[in-house]
Amino acid sequence: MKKLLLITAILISLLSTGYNLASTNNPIKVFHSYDYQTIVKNKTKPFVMMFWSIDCSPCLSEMRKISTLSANEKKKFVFISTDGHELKKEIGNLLHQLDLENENNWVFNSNDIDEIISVIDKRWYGETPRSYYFDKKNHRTLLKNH
Amino acid sequence: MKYYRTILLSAVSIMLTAAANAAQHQHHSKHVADPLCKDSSEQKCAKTVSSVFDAKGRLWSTWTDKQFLYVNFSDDNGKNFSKAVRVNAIAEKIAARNEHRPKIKIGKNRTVLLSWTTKLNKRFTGNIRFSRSTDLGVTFSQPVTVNDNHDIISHRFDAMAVNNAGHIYISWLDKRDQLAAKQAGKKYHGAAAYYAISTDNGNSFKANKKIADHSCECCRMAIDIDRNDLPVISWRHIYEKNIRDHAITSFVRQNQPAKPFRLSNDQWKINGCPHHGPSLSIDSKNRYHAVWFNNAEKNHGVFYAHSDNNGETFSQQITVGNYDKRASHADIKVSDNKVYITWKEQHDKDSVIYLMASEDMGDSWEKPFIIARSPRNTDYPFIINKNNKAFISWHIPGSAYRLIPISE
Repeated sequence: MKKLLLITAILISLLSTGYNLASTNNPIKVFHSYDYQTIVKNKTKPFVMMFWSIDCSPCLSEMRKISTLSANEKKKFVFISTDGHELKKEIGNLLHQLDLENENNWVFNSNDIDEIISVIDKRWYGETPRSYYFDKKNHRTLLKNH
Repeated sequence: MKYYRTILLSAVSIMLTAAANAAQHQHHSKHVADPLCKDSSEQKCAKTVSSVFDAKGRLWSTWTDKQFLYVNFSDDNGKNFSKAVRVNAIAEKIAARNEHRPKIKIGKNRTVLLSWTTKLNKRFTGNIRFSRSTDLGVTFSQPVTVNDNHDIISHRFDAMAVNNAGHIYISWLDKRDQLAAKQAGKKYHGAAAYYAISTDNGNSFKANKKIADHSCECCRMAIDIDRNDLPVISWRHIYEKNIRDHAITSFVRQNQPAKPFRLSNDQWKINGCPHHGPSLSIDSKNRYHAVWFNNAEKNHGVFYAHSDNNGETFSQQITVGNYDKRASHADIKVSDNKVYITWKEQHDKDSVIYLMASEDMGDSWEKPFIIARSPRNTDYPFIINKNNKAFISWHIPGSAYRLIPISE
């Protein structure tokens, strides 16, 4: 009986560990100013970097459209919330609703928002959505959202 | 739509696997919360602080923490503050960051007036709330909802002003007309600008009235009182399909707005949220002084202009601050025959606050100078008047609220 209890305990432990790993497989990462260059450098194929905020209705419209793309296509986006990391939970809930919670998601470090924005693009003043297309040579093009 | 097509075309052409990227950045994702402000409702820990002086020189401040609004006061220009008083007995999700922040003004007999936006459960929705204290901040009235449309939609971005007669004007951005259009199967761009007036010192508000259709939906409004003791209100408007410039309206009488005029014509085309509203101040000769931000192809940055004909036309706009240093979120105030503009810039890692003054009511401007800086990310600067003396009200979240004198 003791052996059975022990095995059950181990199984529960393993299962719960597995569950936790699965549920946090792609957590929202906190974005610092140095992360921009690191992300770009590490990308070997074209991608879109999209900056968005939870208060931005047009952002959500775009993200709803992106969420209808295939899983492979969705992987071509890096989503970065400009809201500040203390809103991680709210951002996570929204990403879940949009079915984008398993994508490459980031949120600005609240303490450095202005610095981060100026490092990314001196002509960007925080308006959202703001999306950049990076080609295979990492050349960046701002996607106009007229 | 063009934007979406571009994204889709880009996406289709992309051959990408992003998974490795996330793992490589895990080591950067650790963040240590500010130890000074963990679980603290102190003023210094707030995201935003709004302040105003009353006629006797008492500084009143308000901020939020965990769904509660707080008020304190200082009788020595912000060196020492009274114990904070909680305004709302029942918790509510008060919007208080960036362009959202509670407002505090002084009404008749030093009544402390508060307006704010409470977020509702559905995204992008909210109500305009109001409370007052008639006993010098000892107690506050039970908050009331000012918007008389109670659909679960957006009533947000409140602005408040009080005229010499003690009439309280609250304006906000409202989506009731967008909802009605949607229900009728019609399209409606943006929100609408609405207002309500109280002529009994905040005891009650008259029926809501619309100022204009098709405002932008995510930028603060600006409001001031003109020489006729009537409000003037400015907001970011949607012109044509998606040009988000600024509109301004005066009032023809107490409860009747005039036809709005166009304040800016920078042609910023954006199907998105600028998160950047205007600021407005009116001098004793009824000159309207305005600052705003646009990030259009041709005209980008912070701009100043004035109007001598109730907003119908404005002077040639001048650029304020350094666009390449991210000059933004400017505030303007007339004080004792001078006009001051303050704004924020980003100099490497520092938040830098600038000040610029005009001694001829905006015809010419002195050289701007740095009045404060912080290595931390800070709130936007605002100018408040203590009778005829001007101060910058500036908050560094997690560190300190600062009141900086700027006039002799």
